[in-house]
Amino acid sequence: MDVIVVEDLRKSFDGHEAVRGVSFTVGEGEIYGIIGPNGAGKTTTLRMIAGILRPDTGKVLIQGKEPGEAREKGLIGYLPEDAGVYRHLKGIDFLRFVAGLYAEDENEVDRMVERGVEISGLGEALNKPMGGYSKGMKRRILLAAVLMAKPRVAILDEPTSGLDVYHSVMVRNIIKEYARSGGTVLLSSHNMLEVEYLCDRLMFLHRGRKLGEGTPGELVSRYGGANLEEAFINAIGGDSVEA
Amino acid sequence: MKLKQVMMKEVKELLKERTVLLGVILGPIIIFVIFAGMSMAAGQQALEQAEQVRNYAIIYRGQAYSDYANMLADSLGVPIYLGDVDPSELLEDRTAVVIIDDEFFDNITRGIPGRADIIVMTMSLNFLSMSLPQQVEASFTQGVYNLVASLIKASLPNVDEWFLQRPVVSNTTLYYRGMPLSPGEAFGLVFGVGLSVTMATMILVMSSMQVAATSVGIERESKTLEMLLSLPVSRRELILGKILGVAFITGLGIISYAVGIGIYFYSLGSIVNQAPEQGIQASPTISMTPLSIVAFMVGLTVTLVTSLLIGMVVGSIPQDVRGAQLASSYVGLLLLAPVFAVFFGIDLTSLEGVWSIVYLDPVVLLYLVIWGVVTGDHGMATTGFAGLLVNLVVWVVVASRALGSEAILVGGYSRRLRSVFRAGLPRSSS
Repeated sequence: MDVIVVEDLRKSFDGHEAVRGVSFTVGEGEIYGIIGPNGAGKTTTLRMIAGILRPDTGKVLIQGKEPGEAREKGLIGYLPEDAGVYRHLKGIDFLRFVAGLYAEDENEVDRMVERGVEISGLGEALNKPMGGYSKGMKRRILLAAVLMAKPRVAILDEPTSGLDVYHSVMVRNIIKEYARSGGTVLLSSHNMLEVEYLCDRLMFLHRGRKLGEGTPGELVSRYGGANLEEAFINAIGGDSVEA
Repeated sequence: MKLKQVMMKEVKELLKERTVLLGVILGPIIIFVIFAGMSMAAGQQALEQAEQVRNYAIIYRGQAYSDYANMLADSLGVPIYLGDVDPSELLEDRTAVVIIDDEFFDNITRGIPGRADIIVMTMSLNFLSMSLPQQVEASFTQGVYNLVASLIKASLPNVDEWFLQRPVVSNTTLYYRGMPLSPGEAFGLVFGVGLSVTMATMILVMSSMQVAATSVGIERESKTLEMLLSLPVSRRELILGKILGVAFITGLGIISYAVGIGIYFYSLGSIVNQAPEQGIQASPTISMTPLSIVAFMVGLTVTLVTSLLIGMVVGSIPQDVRGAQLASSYVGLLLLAPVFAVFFGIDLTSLEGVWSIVYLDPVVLLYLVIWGVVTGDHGMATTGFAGLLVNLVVWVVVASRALGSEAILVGGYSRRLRSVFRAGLPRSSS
C-alpha cells in the first residue's frame, strides 16, 4: 500500500515556479530519496508533503489523509534541513516536550523519551541546555525527536547535512533501522552517494521538475555513468545545476 | 584607495540591511512626522486654550459698587452679570466665572485684598488645563490692579505696595466635566493617574510587545519554527500556547505592576492627605473602589494580551531577534505617542476626522478606561472597554493569519504582509 501519494504538485513564490508538477508514491517501509542540487525544489516539496506549505495545485495524501490532518494526527515526523534547537532547553526536556505532543498518556511519553535517548546516543549531555551542543549533537537530538514517536512517515531534509563522517554513518544507520521496523522514510539530499546507500527508490529533481525515478541501479543504467552523480549529470544533459 | 573600498563595501552592505534602513534612516523620519502631527494638534489646542482664558464672565452679587464692577468688566473686555445668576448656566459656553460682591469692593477701596470666587470649567485634564485657574486669576487680578491703580489709588495715597501686588485673594474651584475638583484632586488626577500610572502602564505594554516580538524572533532566528510547525498540534493551539506562554511572563509583570501601583497610591494618598493647609485636600475622586480596581485590571489585561498579539505580528516580519525588537520598539512608540500628546494638552475625546484613528490604538483605549474608571466617567470607560474588545478580536484574527501563514517561513515582506489578508496554512478537516 502506498503511504505517500503525491500528484502534480506545484508551488510558486513571487512568480518563480519552485516545484513544477511533481508526482510520485512511496510504499510502506520504503526509503525514498529526492536528489537534486541546491534550488532544485527539494525542500519546498518536502515542506508541502509535511503540511507546512500549501501547494498551489496538486494533491498530497499521507495514509489517505491531507497533510495538515496527517500532521495533527502524528502520522508525520519532519526534520528540516537547517533546524535549530532551543538554546535554554535541556535535551531531555526537548524530547519530553515533543513526545508530549505525540503521546496519548504519560506512560507513552516515557517510552518515547526512552527511545529518543537511545536514538540520540547523547547520554549525560541530554541533561545540559542544547545551546551548548555541537552541530552533530543538535542533528542527533532533532533526529531522535522525529523518530522516537515512530511516525508512519519520517520526512528528513538533508539528514546528514553538516555532519562529520562518524556522525553521518550513525544517522544513516538510525534511518535504516527505522525503515526496517516498518517506518516509511522520505528524504532529500544532494549527497548522491548517501542516497545510493540509503534509498530503495529515488527521484532526480531539477529546477522543480522530476527528471527520472527508480532504484539507484535503474537510474544509473537508464542515464549511464559510473554512479548516481554521473547519471544525474547525464539526466540534466549538462545543464547548469543552479536555477 | 583601499580605505574607500572597505568603506563602500560597508555602506552598501548596511544600506541593504532592513533593520538599518528602518531603525537609522527611515525610523526617525516616521517618528518625527507622527510627533510633529501630535505637537501641531497639541499646539493648536494650546492656542485655543489661550483664547479660552479670556472667555470668562463676572457675576456681581451686590449693588453698592455697580459702577466699579462695570468699569472692571469693560477694562477686561468680559461680560458682567448682575444679581443672583446661576454660574452653571454661564459655564455652558464659558471657561470660567468670577463671582464678586460688595465686600470685594469694600475691601479693595480700603486697601485690603478683595475676595473672589473663581469657577473654572475644563473638559480635559492635562498640563495646560491644570494652569487654567491660575491664568484666569491672573487675568482678573490684572483688571483689578488697573482699576485700583487708576481710580482707587488716588483716594488712598498711603496704599500698601503689598496690596497693589496682590489685590485679589481668590477661592478657585476647577470643574472637570461637571465634577468639582480640589487642587489636590486635580494634582492627583494629572500627575498621579494621567502621568505616573499611565507611564507605568505604557512601559508594561511596551515590554510585553518586546517579549512577544522576541519570542517570535527567536523562533525564526534559531530556526526552530519550522520543526515546531510540523509537530502534531493545531495552528490554533500552537498560537494560543505561544500567547499563553508569553502572557505568563507578562502576568509576572502585572503582579509586579500591581505591587508597584499599590505602593504608589499609598504614597500619593499620604502626600495628599497630609497637606491640607497647603490647599491640597484628601482626594475621594481618585480613591479607587474594589469594582474600579477590577475594571482597571481587566482593561489592563485585555490591553496586554492585545499588545502581545501586536508584538507577535510585528516580530514575525523581520528575520531575526534584533529586527523583531527594533520593529516592536517603533510600533510601541507609535502606539504610545497619542497618550504622550495628552499630557501636553490634547483632549482625546475632542479628536475628529483623521485623528479619530487614535481610537484604533489599544494604549489610547486603555487610557480612556483608566481615566473613566478613576473619574467615575462611565461613558468614557465603556467606550474604552468596547474599543479594547474590538481591538482584541481584530488582533487575534490578524495574529492567527500572520503566524499561521507560510509566509513566516518562506520570507519576503510583500508576501508576509499579503499573508495577513489571506487564508493561513492548510488546516485539517477534523
